[in-house]
Formats: sequence, C-alpha cells, structure tokens
Amino acid sequence: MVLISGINILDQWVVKAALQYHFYGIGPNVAARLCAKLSIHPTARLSSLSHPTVTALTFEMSKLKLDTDLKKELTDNLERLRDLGTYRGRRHAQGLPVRGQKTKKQVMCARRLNCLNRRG
Amino acid sequence: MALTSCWRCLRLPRLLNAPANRVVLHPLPLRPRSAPFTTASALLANPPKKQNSGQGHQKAIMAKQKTTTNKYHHKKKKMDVSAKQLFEIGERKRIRKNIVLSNTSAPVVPLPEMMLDICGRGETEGTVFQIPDSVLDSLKALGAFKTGQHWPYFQRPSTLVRKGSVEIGKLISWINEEGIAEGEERYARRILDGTRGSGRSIVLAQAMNWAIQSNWVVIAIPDAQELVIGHTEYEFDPAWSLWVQKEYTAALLGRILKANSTVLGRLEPVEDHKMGKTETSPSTLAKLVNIGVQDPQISNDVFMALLKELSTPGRPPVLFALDNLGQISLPSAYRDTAFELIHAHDLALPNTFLSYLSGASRFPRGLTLAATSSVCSKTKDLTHALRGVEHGPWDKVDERIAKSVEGAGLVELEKLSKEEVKAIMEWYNAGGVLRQPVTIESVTEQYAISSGNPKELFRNCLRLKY
Repeated sequence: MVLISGINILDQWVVKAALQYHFYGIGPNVAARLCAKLSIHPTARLSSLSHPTVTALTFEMSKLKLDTDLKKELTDNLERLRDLGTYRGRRHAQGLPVRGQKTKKQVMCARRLNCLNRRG
Repeated sequence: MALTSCWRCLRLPRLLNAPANRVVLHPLPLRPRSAPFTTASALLANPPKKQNSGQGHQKAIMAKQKTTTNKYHHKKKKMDVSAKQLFEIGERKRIRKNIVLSNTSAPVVPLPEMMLDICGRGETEGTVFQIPDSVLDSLKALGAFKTGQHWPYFQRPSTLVRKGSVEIGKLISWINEEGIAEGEERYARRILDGTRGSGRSIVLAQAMNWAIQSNWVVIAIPDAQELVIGHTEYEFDPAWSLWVQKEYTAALLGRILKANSTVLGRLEPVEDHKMGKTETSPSTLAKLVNIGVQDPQISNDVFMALLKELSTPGRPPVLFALDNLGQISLPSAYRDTAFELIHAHDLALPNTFLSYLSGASRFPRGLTLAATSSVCSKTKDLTHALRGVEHGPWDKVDERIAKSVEGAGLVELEKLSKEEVKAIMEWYNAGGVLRQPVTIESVTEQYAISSGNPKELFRNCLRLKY
C-alpha cells in the first residue's frame, strides 16, 4: 500500500490510473500533467515510485483543489445562485433542466444531477 | 320427478357429462392464479413473494427508503480485490517476447556454418548458412533474434547470405585486417534500408555473429521502440543535459556483459572509475559494467564510461547496432516538466547512438550499424534524409533528423534474385517447411508471388497447398 495525499492505495495500481480513480478532481489531463511534472512514465506502477517521488506527488496534489474542497466549491456556487434567486439557482433547486431543455418528456439527467448538494 | 337435463336444449349438466373414470396423465401442482390477460404460462412465473406484514416489514421499507432517497442514484461497484489475476505482471510480455530457436520435430538440414572465413566473400552470396552454436547465447543475449521470424520452424537457426550481408562482411574484414599502422582509424557507419520484410534485422544479426566471432565488443539496442514509447523510467540528468533511462540502461549493460563477458574480462580500464558505492576502481571493464548492472542509479554514467574506454586506441573493435532507427527519429511519448513532448534525440541512449552514427563520436576501430523500421510510418524526415529528397515548401521539417544520419552510408537490401529464391526454397524443402518439389516452375511461381521479398516468400512456402 502507498499513502498518497492521505489515501492508502494498492501497490499494483498504475500511477496515472490510481490518481484518476481515487481523487475527485483529477482526470486524464491533470493526472498526465502531474506525472510529467515528476517524470513518472505513463505505465509506471505505484510500487516503482521512490519515497521522495511519493512525497513530491503528495506535495503537488496539495496545491490542487480536490475531493471535499472541490465539491464544497460546487455546492457553494449552487447555493449562491439559489440565494440570489437566479433562474439557474431555482432550476437547480427544483431538479429541472437549467439550460433551456424541454421538460415535456424525459429529463432524466436533470432529475439525477440537478440539486443543491450536487454530487459532482 | 324433475328432469336432470334441460328440457329445452336436452343438454346434460356438466357433472354428469364428465366421464366417470377420468385419468389425469400430468397432474399439475397447486399453482398460483395467473393474471387474467397474460398469455405467458403460469408455470414460467416466479413463485409468489411472501406477504410480510407487521412492524418488521414496515421497518424494512423505511430503511430502504432511507438508503435510496434518489432512485437514479447508482452505487459504485466495489473492486473485487480477492479475485486472482490470470497473469502475473509482465508474464504476458515474457510469453510474447519468448524466442524459440530450435524445432526438434523439424528434420536436420546439413548446412555449412557461418564462420568468420566466409565473412565478406562474394562467392558465398546466395548460400544458406547456419549460425554456429558458439555464438547463439551471445546473439540471444543481444536480442538479435526477433519474434515473428522463421526460427521456430527449423532445427537450427540458419540465414541466407545476400549482397547486403557481403557488403557488411567486407567492412568487418576491413576493420579486422591485421597490420594496421598505429593511429590509423578504421571506423565505418552504415544504415540498412529496405522494404518491409526485406531482411534488415537478419543482416544485423549476421553482422553481430561475425563481430562476436572476431572478438569484438558488441553493443546492441534490439528495438529502439522500447526507448521512446514511454514504458521505461526516465529522468533529467543535469550532468549530461539529457533525459536518462536508468533502468533500461542497466538492463542494456547486463545484456552487454552477458554477450561480451570474455572480451570485457580481458580489458583493463585506462582511467579510474570510482562510481557509486565502490571504493576502489574496477580492475576490468567487465567489473565496471557490472557496477552499472547492480546499481541502476549510475547505469548511464557507467555506460558512458564504457564507451569512453572503448574509444581509446588499442582497444578491440566495437559493433554498435540499433534496430528500428525510424522510431528514434520522432518526438517520444515522454513529456518534460512543462508537459512538452521530449524529442527522441534528447534521450540519452538514442542521442549517444546517433552521435556515433553521425560521426560526432568515433571508435578507433569499429562499425556503427542501424536498420530502418517499417512499423513506424511517420518518419518522412528520415526517408528524405536517406534518399536525399528535397522537402516541399510547406513541409514541417525536423532539422535534427538529417544531421543525425549525415555521412552514414546506405546499404539497400534489394529484392531476392531467382537464384537466391531457389536456394531458400531448397532449404525450406529440406527443412520440411515446403512440401512441393523445387522445380523451375515452382521457383518462378514463388518468385512472382513474393516479388523477391524474403518474408513474403517464407509465408507463401509455409502456407499449405491443396
């Protein structure tokens, strides 16, 4: 197990994939950039990383807004919109489409996603 | 007395109408009542659910509602950590790269051995020779044999000597010549070129065979693609201002040591090399190389020290070979800290090889040999540089490519002649690959179908007919 930014991850994970899977806010692009910054090749596994590299990776990740912080930012933004009484805020609160989609028929995505404590 | 039947229609009541001794052949179990409008058989239906009632049931419903507040919310599947992997890490690659050099089921073909005495002799052109057993281990260590070649079909690994092989053989004989004046340099640079399946890698293996027999130091990068596709560790080395691949270099040093252990074991270093954890300078070059194998952190320094040692006068000749040159004439898959692609020429190993190929660095006696690649299709700059074609006015030109191969001679592997096709077919026939007899007609037919390409010829002969 390797401890990265407070999360224990199994050794056999490929570094880039592990970052993408375990951290909200890291996708293919951010993961590739993080790896490039520390000269970690695209097929490197966590087991092959040295201790200084793991520390450096954790340090680089501490500069980013990830996980709960990022989710908090999202909910804060939605709450701000709602408090201002904007159309977008209201539609989010109602769980309806925000960008002018019709609501006569299916609005599955909006029902699933649009709410004030949106999951991401 | 009342009538038992209806007097109007004279029908009997249902009970009396039924046969008295009715036999039920397939007694059905008690089954649930099916829905009135369904056409599906009630037998196919699932058993009815137990009707729960009471407080426990209400509690379960409440708990369910609590957990799934949003019916569109799907839980992420948990990874099954306990599941056993089908293959260990790296096992599939080992299977894929496994080289089989001998087929014990194939008949033995008596062929002359490819010894040093035939090196560079024109009369051997068009003859099939078998590679001597004494060099097989070294060649295998150097990665001279590739998967997808004809080795697993024959009892002994054998190859055809062609015009290109003779040309390279002549160079090796020229460098091997005795009685060279002191200070005279005998260094050659060649690039093997040809179409797909024209036998560039085989000629490279033949050159290595003769070099090992001549007691040269042979350094070979068997597949340049491994250096650039981003599968090995890399880091920037400020001392060399290059990106070094320490793990790959350590593995390369291991292969060099395995293939040249006797030659390197005899050579003593000229300079002191106190590297890594060793306190004393190694007594032989083999020990120096071993330091790099043991400690990958200093493998690049050891490799450069080895090349420097071999570049001093009085050393045995060196064969520096690389297969798939096209792969290192492109930007690599690696990225620098600013997320820019690293050019293959900025990687330490390709850079070192190209410095020897372009003549910037030289051995006093030696041969640098590269083979172009057909797998890599985007090497327009290299193709133009080799053929001397001018670029179009709107072409994006990579200036570094032409400089990297400047002055290196081109050895073109042309298509096989009819005599060579006949020699190969006779060998295939004796080796059990080709069943049909070798006649003028069959040779002409195979020559026409394969258009003189060795790989195509082998495939056509191998294919079962009728």
